[in-house]
Amino acid sequence: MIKTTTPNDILLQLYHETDEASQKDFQLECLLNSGLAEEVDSLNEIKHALDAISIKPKISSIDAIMRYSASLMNKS
Amino acid sequence: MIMNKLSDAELVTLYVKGNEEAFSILLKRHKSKVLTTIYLIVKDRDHAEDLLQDTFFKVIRKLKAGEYNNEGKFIQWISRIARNMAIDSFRKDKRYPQSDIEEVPTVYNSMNFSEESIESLKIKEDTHALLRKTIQALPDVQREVVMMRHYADMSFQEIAEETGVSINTALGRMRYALINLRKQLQKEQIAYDQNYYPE
Repeated sequence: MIKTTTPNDILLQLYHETDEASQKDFQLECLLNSGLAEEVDSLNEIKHALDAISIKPKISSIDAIMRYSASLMNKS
Repeated sequence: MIMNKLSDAELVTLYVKGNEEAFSILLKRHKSKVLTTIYLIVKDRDHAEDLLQDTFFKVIRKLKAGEYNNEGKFIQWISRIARNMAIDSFRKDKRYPQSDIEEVPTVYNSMNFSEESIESLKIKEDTHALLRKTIQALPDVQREVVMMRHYADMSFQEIAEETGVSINTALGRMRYALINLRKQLQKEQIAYDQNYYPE
């Protein structure tokens, strides 16, 4: 039986929102279909980049938050 | 040491009972994702820092008042508060300039970095700044899905429920967002290559 992978299927695989059996089928499909594998690699690159761009708050912001929490703790 | 291994729900329970260290760990665990969410909406770093503080002040008050039921994911709850505060603030004052800290990068090379030299770090920083700018320029519905999936740890099903659309619509928006980001980054790379390696 020929399985058709939709663009939405690719995204669900990319974000690991499928079951294990489905993931194995998809990996096999990527091995047999170079176009699909390229598409997955390309989207995966952007996905990883999105995970890498988080920005760290300034220490002064963290200190202010902790001070606020402590001030309420002292009142209670 | 052991507290670092506790779940968010366990840390919240400890904090409500008066354990300040538990909150410190929660803050450390989620601060960057929350700040990134806010920054992608308000587009100004200093203002984002202020809203980060306001968000956590509100979170602290709600936790102390027993207004968090600890049933859903903690990061999703904070992210929702952060998003709402950022959107309200953005609507109140649309004068926010583009970030004066993160200039549009003048150098863009590749997204694969094998060496962590000063130059490669600079390129990486520039690439990240460019990507943030590109996310900010996405249509609202696409940017919203990117933020919810990447910085609020929501599944596509949860995003669909939160935004009142079908899961296929949520997936479609994410797909277009990724394609748009890829196109924009490729365009910048070509511009870089033409500037630095003229024929």
